[in-house]
Amino acid sequence: MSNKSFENLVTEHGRLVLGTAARVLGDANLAHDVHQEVFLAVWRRWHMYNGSVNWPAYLYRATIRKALELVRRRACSVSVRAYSSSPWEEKITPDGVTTNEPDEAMQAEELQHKLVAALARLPRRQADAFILSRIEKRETAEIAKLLGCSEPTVRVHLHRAVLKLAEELHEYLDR
Amino acid sequence: MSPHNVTNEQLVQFVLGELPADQAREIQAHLRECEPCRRSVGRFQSLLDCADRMSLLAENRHNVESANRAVLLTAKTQEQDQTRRRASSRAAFFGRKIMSYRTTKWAVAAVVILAAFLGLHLFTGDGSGKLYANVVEMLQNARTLTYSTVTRTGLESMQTLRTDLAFKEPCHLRASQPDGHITVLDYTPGKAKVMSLVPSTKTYLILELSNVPDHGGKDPWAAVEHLRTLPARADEALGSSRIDGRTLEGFRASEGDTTTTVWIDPKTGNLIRAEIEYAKTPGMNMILTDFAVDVDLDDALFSLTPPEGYHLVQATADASTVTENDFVEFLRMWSQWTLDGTFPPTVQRPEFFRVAIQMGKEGKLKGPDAPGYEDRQREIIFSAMTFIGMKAGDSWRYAGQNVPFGDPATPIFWYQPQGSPTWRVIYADLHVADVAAENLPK
Repeated sequence: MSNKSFENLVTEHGRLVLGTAARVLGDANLAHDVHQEVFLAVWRRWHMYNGSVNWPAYLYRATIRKALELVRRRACSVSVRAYSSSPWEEKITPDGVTTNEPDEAMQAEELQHKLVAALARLPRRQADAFILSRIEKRETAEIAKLLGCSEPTVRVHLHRAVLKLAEELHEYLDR
Repeated sequence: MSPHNVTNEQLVQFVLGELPADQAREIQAHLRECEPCRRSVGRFQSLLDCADRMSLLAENRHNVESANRAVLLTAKTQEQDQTRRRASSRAAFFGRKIMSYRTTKWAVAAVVILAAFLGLHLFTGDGSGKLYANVVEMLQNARTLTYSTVTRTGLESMQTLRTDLAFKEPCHLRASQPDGHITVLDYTPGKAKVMSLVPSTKTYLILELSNVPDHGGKDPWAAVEHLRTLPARADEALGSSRIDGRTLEGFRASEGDTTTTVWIDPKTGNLIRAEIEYAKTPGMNMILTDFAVDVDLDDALFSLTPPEGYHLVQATADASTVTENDFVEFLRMWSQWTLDGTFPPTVQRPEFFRVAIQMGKEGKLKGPDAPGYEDRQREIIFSAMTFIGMKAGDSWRYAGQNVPFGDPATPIFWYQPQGSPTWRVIYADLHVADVAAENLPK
């Protein structure tokens, strides 16, 4: 396959990769990194692909995998979501007293941060199903095609993901 | 409807709007009476609300176009390296294959070869800084390369292991250790050969794999998933640090559970030291030093003549004839190796061999020689890994962790053979059945 067709691939699906990564990671710079990694990995294997690749399926899965990998890599060091760099745990009030009660917006941000971290710990298929269904807003039939499984299987993965995530995040969800 | 009749699964279906109207009404009625279920539903709803908020973010056209331009530019600059890349990615593929074929003390030897291939990976990365980029380029263009590694194994019996490695284009590799253990690897398109001299057992080991496809299976997923590439560029510049009396610049790159740090002398631009760590295998790390590029290496270095008194052990696998039976046989053998009769925790490369090291360390294995398998074990593992890498495609799933041999109703592995409408499922008593997709284990 030619360089031209690689260019077409990037032009056609760049938005899918960048958008998905941005929605999952909540950070434009990190999404940019994932976009680069996903397409350059494809480019390095360009000679291996035949004409029958289902590119949206491939790219969705690769993007989610790379994004969650990034979350796992950084879990112990840098906070992934940009907003979490602001220390919501400790806030200085106007009279100089430290408080640890985050306001509602910060709680919502914290929950998103925790949700992404929990997604990174889920079995891959469950994370795929949850992200494609609830964040990417894809229909079950389409997800089944993207993941190469049946619709009931997609639903089972999604249900398990919701149950596990709710269990792991209960202290943040109950607030 | 009593609380016992409502499952969490139904509550999730309710929140997702998947239930028929009559059932949804029943759940609603139940929720009015049941506080715990109301709380669960509240949680599920908050979770979905959070995902809804995340879904709202949309990328603008400008960002997409700028990211696309950047990736096309990088791809273009990499183009001239394509041929070299192909050779080294095949080497890496085969490397992972042989990485995983033995256990306990054998695995330590495998680590050595892994070091070499991780080394090769270092050289196919793309730099984040000019210094790093230049080193990468120099290494990519190297005709020969030698270096030393010191591996901290995490094994009590052999805490560190020093190995000298030599690489020569197109794909020859030699790894030698102070005790005289030498491994030579030779890869030519379609064929791979590993020869080892093992002084402790006076063994001359030859492993050969023929009909190696050009990539890891026809489905590109198989290639990508199994051949997970190391990062395209360094994640982080670490700044300078004094190491062994020199001021060096550090760069760090991670992929999966492997983190690689390289240290470069800014005055000469030479790679001085690389450190490799594995998050999933605490206690094991590797330090690579004494790099030499383009020194003349004699071809004789990459062939072996066994000394007097060595006995020959050979294993061969034809990638085109390896079958499911080879894999079943491997599972049977492993379940006889483990003290509790269970199947391996994973059959995924490269984790498999690391897990094997860990289990050996914890005394969970009877040892590498299972009764009745002494002669064939290497061949069996070798063939099984070939099966996973080339025949089971992308679709396989393994569920044998902590499962003991014996139960005919517990599925431990399933895959869809290429072109088959149904799936093959291997159960814990190692019988195999054809199963329709809708009846697969969940």
